[in-house]
Amino acid sequence: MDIFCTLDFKEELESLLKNKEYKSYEKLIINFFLSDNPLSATIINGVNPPIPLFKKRIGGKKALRVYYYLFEIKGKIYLTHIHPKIGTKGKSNISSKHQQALMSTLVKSIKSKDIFKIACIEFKILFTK
Amino acid sequence: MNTAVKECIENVFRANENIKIPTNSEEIDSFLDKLSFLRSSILGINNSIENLIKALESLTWLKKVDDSEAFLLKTVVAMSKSSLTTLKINYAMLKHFYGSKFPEVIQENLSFVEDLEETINDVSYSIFEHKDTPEIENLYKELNDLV
Repeated sequence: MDIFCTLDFKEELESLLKNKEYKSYEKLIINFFLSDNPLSATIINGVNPPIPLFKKRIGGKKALRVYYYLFEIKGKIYLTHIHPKIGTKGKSNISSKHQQALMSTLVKSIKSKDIFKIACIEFKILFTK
Repeated sequence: MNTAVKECIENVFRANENIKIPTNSEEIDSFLDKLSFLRSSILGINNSIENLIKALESLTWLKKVDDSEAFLLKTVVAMSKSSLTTLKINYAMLKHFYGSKFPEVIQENLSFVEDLEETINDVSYSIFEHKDTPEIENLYKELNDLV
C-alpha cells in the first residue's frame, strides 16, 4: 500500500511532533501505516462508502486521531487530518462538514499536485513530492 | 442473514459478555488484601474493552446491511452503551477506593473507557446517521477519477 498525504496533514503532523509530548508518536505512526495493518480502524463515512474514510486512534492516553481515505483497488492511502484528543487542538471526532472539507482539500491537492508520498528512513517520516 | 454481518454481531455480543466486573461486595472486600489481584483485574477489564472496541470497529467494515440486520446492529450497539455505563460506574468506584494506590492503572482504565465511548459514537454515527450530501457524492466521483 502506498501512503500519501496532503500539505495540511504534513503541517499538522510536523507541528504536533515539535511538541515533546507527541515526539515519540512518529514511531507509532510509522509502525501503523508502514508495518501494521492500516485497515484496522473505524470507517466513519457510512456503510460501504464509495471511498472509505478511516479514523484511527494512535497511542495511549494522549492518542492522536488520524483520518485517511483508502483506495483499496489502487493500493493507495491518503492521510488528510490528524489531531490530538486533548489540549488546545483537542477533539474526539470531526463533523460531517469537516469530512466534506477534507475531501474537497484532497481533490484540490491532487489536482494541484500538492501531495506528498510518505516513507520511513531510520524511524523518521520522510515526505517527498 | 449475511454471514459476515452475523459474525460481526456475534463478536460484539461476545465482547460485551466478556466484560466481567466484580460487583459482589465480598469480592471487592477481598481485593483489599489482594492488591495485585485488583491490578490484574483492571488490566483484564482493559483488555476486554479493547476487544469490544475492535469488534465494534469491524461493524463499520460491513459491505451491506439490510433492515433486519440494521435492527440487530442497533441492538448490539445499545448493549455496548449499556456496558459503557457499567464501566463508567466501575471506573468511578475504582478511582474513589483505589485511586491513590494505582493512579496509573486506573488512569489507563479511564482511557480505555473513553476510547470505547468514542468508538460507540463513531460507529453509531457512521452506520445509522451518516448521509452523503450531493456535494460529497460529487467529490467521490472526482476523487475516483483523479486517483
